[in-house]
Amino acid sequence: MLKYTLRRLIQSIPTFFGITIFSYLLMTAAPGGPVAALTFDPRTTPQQRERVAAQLGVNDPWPIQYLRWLAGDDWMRWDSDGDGVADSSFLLPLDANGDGEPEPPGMRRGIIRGDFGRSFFYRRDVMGMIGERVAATLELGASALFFGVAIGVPVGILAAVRKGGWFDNVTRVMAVCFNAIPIFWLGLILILIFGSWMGVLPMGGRTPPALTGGIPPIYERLQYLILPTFVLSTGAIAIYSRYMRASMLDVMSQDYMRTATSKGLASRIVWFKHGARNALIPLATFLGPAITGLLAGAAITETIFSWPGLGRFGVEAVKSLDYPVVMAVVIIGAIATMLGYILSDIFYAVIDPRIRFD
Amino acid sequence: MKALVRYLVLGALLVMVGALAVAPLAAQDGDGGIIIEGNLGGDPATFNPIIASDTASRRITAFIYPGFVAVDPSQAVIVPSDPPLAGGAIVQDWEISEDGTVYTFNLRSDMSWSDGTPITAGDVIYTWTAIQAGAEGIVDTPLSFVIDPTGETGILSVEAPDDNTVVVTFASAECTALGNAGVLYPAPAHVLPEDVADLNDAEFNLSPSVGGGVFLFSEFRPGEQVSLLANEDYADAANGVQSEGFIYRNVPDQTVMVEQFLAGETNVIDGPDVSRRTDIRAAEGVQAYDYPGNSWDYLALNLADPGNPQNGLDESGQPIDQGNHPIFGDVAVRQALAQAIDVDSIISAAVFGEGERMTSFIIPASWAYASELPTIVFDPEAASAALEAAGWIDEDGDGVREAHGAMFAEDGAPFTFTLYTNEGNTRREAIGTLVQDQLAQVGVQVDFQTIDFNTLLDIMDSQTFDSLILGWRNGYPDDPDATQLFTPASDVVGAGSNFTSYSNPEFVALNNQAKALPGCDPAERAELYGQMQEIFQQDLPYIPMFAINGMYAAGGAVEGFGPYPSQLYWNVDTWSVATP
Amino acid sequence: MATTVAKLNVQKRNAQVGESLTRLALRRLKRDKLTLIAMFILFMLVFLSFTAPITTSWLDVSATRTDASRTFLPIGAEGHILGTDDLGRDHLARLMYAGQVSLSVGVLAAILSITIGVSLGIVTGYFGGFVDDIVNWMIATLTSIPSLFLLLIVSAVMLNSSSSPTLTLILVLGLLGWTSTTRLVRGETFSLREREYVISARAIGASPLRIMFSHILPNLFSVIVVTMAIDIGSLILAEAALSFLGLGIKPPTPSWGNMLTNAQSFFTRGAHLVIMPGLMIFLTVLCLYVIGDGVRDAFDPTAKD
Repeated sequence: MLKYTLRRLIQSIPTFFGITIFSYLLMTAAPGGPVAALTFDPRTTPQQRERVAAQLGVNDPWPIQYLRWLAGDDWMRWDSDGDGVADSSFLLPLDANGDGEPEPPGMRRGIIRGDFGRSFFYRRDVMGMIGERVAATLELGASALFFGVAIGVPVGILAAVRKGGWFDNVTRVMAVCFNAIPIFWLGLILILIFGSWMGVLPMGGRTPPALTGGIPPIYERLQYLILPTFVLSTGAIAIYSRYMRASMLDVMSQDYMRTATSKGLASRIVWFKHGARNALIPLATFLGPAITGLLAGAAITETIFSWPGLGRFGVEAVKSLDYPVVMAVVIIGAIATMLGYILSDIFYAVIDPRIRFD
Repeated sequence: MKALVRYLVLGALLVMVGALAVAPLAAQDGDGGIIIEGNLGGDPATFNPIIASDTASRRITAFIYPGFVAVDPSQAVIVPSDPPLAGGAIVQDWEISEDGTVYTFNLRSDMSWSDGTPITAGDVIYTWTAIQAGAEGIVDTPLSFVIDPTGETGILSVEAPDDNTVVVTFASAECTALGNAGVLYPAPAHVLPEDVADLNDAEFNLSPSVGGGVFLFSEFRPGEQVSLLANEDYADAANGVQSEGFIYRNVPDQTVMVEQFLAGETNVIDGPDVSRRTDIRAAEGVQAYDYPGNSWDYLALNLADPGNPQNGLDESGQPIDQGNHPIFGDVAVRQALAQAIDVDSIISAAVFGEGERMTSFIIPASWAYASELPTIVFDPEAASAALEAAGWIDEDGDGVREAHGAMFAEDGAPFTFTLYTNEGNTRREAIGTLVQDQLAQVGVQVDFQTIDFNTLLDIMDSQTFDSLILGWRNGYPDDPDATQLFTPASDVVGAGSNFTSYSNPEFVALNNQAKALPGCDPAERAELYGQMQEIFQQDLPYIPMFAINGMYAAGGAVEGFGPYPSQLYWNVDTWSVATP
Repeated sequence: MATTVAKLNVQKRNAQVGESLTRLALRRLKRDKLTLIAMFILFMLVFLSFTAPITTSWLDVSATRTDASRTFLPIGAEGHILGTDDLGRDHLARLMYAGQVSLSVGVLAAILSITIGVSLGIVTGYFGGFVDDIVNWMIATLTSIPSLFLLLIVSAVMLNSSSSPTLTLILVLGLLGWTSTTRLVRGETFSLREREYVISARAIGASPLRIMFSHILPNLFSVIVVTMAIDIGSLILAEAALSFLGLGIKPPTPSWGNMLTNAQSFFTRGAHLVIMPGLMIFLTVLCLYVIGDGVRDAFDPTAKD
C-alpha cells in the first residue's frame, strides 16, 4: 500500500508541472497587465509607472518570469562576497536596466520552496494572505461536503429502495431542479427570503460583528454557516443522491442480495447492512471531483455570502490581474484536487476487495 | 454501519442546533454602541498611512491617525485648526513667505500618540523621509507625487527647526500648495523602523500598535471586517468619543450590502447603488443624506490621429503635430455630437436621476464651478444640420452618414466609430447603450464595446482609441487645477492623462495663471476657471456627462449623524448607536 | 461487473425481442411523456429565440431602442408583452436575442467539446499505449485545476485580447470541457474494441479509421446524445456564473446570464427583470437534463419495459 501511494504521488509530479506551466502561461498572457490599474491616478509620472513595472517583474521574458515564480531568483542573481551588491548572475543580466549599477540580488525562493511571491495589489506575502483565508474555505467546504453526503446518501438509498414510488420521483425531480438553478441566483433569493424578509438568518459573513475577541468558536456562529452550506451543497446533494441511487439499484440486483432476502432476513437489515455498505464503495471515488466542485462553487457562494475564503479571494485577484495570488489559489486548489484523487484511489483500493495494490 | 447512522444523527442535530442558535445580531453591551459600515471596497492592504494607497486603507487610516492640516467640512477648504468643526489635525496655523514658496506650519502641542508620546515635527519629518525614498522607488508610497523629478513644481524640502514647527519649501508659488502639504501625515516614528527602507514590510503595517485618531486599531479579520476601538485620549472630542468603536464590514455584493443595511445588520452605508436609493430613503427610521458627488463620468473623444499617437510636446517643450482624428478632429462634429446626446434622459435612466449634469470639466460641487454657464442643449435637428454642414451626409440612404467633403475624413468613409467602456460597471454600460441608440437617430453608427478595465486603460494610455466612457473621482478638498488632465505636457503616449491630446494655448495660459495666482483668492481663481470652462465647452475634448450624487445613510439608532458633502465622519466622535 | 451483467442482458433481450436497441429506445421515448414535454418546451424556446427578428418586427418592438421615459414597465404593459427594462428596451425582444446568444454559446461549445472528446476518446480507447498516456496526462492536468478558476483565467485573458468575445467564449468553454467526454468514450471504446464484430472486421483487414468510424462511432450514439444534452445545460449555467463574476458575455450583447446579473439590483423596481432571465436559464437547463435522462433511460439495456 505504501508502494502504491508512493507510485501515485510520483505519477502526479508531471501533472503538477503541467499545471504550473499551463496556468502560468494563461495568466501572464493577459494583455494590459496590472501596472496601468495600479497607477490609475493622473498624478502618477511615467517614471513611477516604469518603476512599478520593473518591481513587479512584468517586463522580463516569459520563461524568466515563470522560472522565477517556480524556482525563485536567488540563484539567478546573487551576491557572492556578502557586500550587499549582486556580483554574479545566471540567465539574467546583472544590470538589467542599463544604468551602470547592478540590480539588487534575487530574494525569491519560488513556489517549489513555498514562496508564492507578493501580491501586486496588497504588496504582501501571498502565503500569509492564503493562510488567513484557508480556514474559512475549509470550514465551508467540509460542512458542505458533510451536508451533501449526509443528505444525498440516505436520499439515494431510500429512493432506490422505493424505486418508482413518490419519494423516488420527488427527489429525482428536485435533484434535476437544483442542478438547473444558477447558484448565485439561488443564494441571492435565499438571502432575500431568510435574511431580509423573514429576518431569521444573517445575510452573510462568517462571524458576528464584534470589536474584539477574534473569531469565535464555530458552534457560536453556526447560523452564519447555514445558508452558504446549503447553497454550496445543493450540487453535491443532487449528484450524491443520484449516484447513490444508481449504485444501490446495481447492488440490489446482485445475487447475494437476493440470497439474503430469500434466507428470510428482514428487508430493512438486508438493505442497510448488505446493500448500502456495498453501494457506498463507489462513492469513495468522488472525493477528487468533489474538491474541485466545491472550490468552483465556493468562488460564487463566498462572493454572495461575504464569506472570507480562498474562492472569493481568487476571483477578486483574477479581476485585478493579481497574478501571484491567482496562481497561488490555483496551485493550492490543484494540489488539493490531486491529493483528493489519490486519496480516492487509495480508499477505493482499501474498501473494495476486488482491487489489489500492485 | 452503526457509525454511519451515528454520524447521520449527529449531522441532523448539528443542523437543528444551528437553526436554533440564531442570535440577535450585532447586539453588544455598552453605552455608545458600535458603528458598523458595510462597504464594497474590499480589504485594506495596509494600516500604515504612508503606504496606504487603496480606498479601503485610506478610509481606515483616516480614522486611526491625525491629519496634517484641518479641513472645514462645511466649506471644503483647508483652514487652521478649529475643533470641533475643523479638527483632527496637528497643524494649528501657518505663515506664507512673501514670494509664496515657503510655508511655516505651527504645530499643536496638545496632540499625542495613544502610548502617550507627544506628536512632534519629527513624526512629520519621518513621513517626508519616506516620501523622498518613495520618489527613489524604495518605499511603496503613493504620496511621492508631491515631488516633481524636474524640480519645477511640488515640494522641494521639509524642515523642522524645532519640535513644533515644520517649514515646507515649494518649487514655485502654487495655489495647490496647501493641498500638497496635506500629504505630510504624522507617522508614529518612535514605533516605525528606523530605516524607512524597511517600511514596506514593517510589522506595524498590519497591526498598528500606536495611533492617534478618533479610533484605534483593534483587529483585522481578512475578507470580513476591520474593527476599531474608541480612542479615549482623543484630543478633539470635547466629551470623549461617544461610541464604543467602529466596524468596517467587507461585503462584496451590492444587493446584499443594501439589504444588510435595511435589515439593521449594518448601520451606516456610503454610496449605495443608485437603483436602491429610493428604497433607502423610504425605509422607516433611516436617515439619508444626498450631496453633489465628486465622481463624474465623461465621454472622451480622441482628437489626434489614433493611427499615429504622438506626445503633446517634444523634449524641448515644443508642440508636436499629432494629426487629426478623421471624425473628431473637426470641432464642429464634436459640438454636433454633444447636441445629439440627451444627457438629461441618460441621468434619469442610467442613475435614476441621482446625478448632476456637468457643463464642462469642473464638478458642480466645486467652488470653481461656473454656475451661470448653461448646459449644452439637446437638439437632434440642429445636430443633424451641423453634421450636414460639416460634410457628413447620408447619401446612400442606409441610415449612416458618409463623408462628403468632411474636414479630415476621406470621401465616402462612413460615420462610424468605436466607443469603449469598462465592463462590470452597469452605470457606464447604460450610458454607452443610450449614447449608441441616441446617436443612431442622427445617422451615426457607434460600435459600443465593454472591455476589461486593465485593457481599457492600456488602450487609453496608448491613445489608439476613438472614444471611451470613463470617469474621474476628484480629491477632497478638490482643487480645479487642470494641468494633469488637459494640458499638452500631460499628453504622453503610454502614460499621460491628457489622452485625448487636447491642446489649446489659451486654456493652458489661463490654467497656469489660475494655478499660481498671487494670494490664491478663490473668487479670483474661480473667475479664471470660469473662462476655462467656457473654452472647454466649445472645444469638447470630453463630452461632459454628469457627476454622480453621493449618498450617506445611517440607521435610526445612530445619533449624531450630520454629514457634509464628501464628509461623512467629520464629527464621528459625537456619534452613538442606541442598543435595543 | 455491472457492465458484464448489462452486456448479458442486452444479448438476452435482443435475442428475445429481436429488435435493435435503437428502435427499442425510440419506442420507449415515444412513451416517455416527461421527456416529450421537455423536448417541446425546449423546441419552443429555441424557435422563439431564433425567430426574434421576425417576431419583434411583427410586434413592433426593438431590443436596442431605448426610451428613458418608459423604463421598468411591468409585464403586460401596453406595447410590451413582458414589460421594459431599466433603459426602456422591450424585455421580450431582449430575452429572445439573449436566448440566441445563450443557446448558441451552449450548443456550439458543446459541439466543439464533444467533437474533441469523442475523437480523442475513440483514438485513445482504440490504440491505448503512448497516445493514451499523453491524453491521460492532459486530462489529469486539466481536471486538477479548479474548473471555475480555469474558466475565469482563460476568459479574463482571452476575452480581452479578442475582437469577437462571444466567439472566444465559445472556444474557451469548448476547449476546456472535453475531458469527461473523453473519459467516457475511451471506456466505451475500450469495451467495444473487444466485441466480436470489431475483431472480425479487424481480421478481414479493415483500416483502424474505418473501424473507428463505422463500427465504434455508431455504437456511441446514445452516449453522445446524453452528454450533449447535459453539456449544453452545464455550459449555459457556466456562462451565467461567469457573467455574475463579470467575465461572461459582455454587454451590450445580451445573454440570459448577463441580463440576470445586471438585473440583480432591480428586484424592487422591476421583479420581472430578475425572474424572467432566471426562469429562461432554469427552464432550458431543466429541459436539457430531463431529455438527457430520458435518452439515457431509453437506451439503458438493463431497464425493464
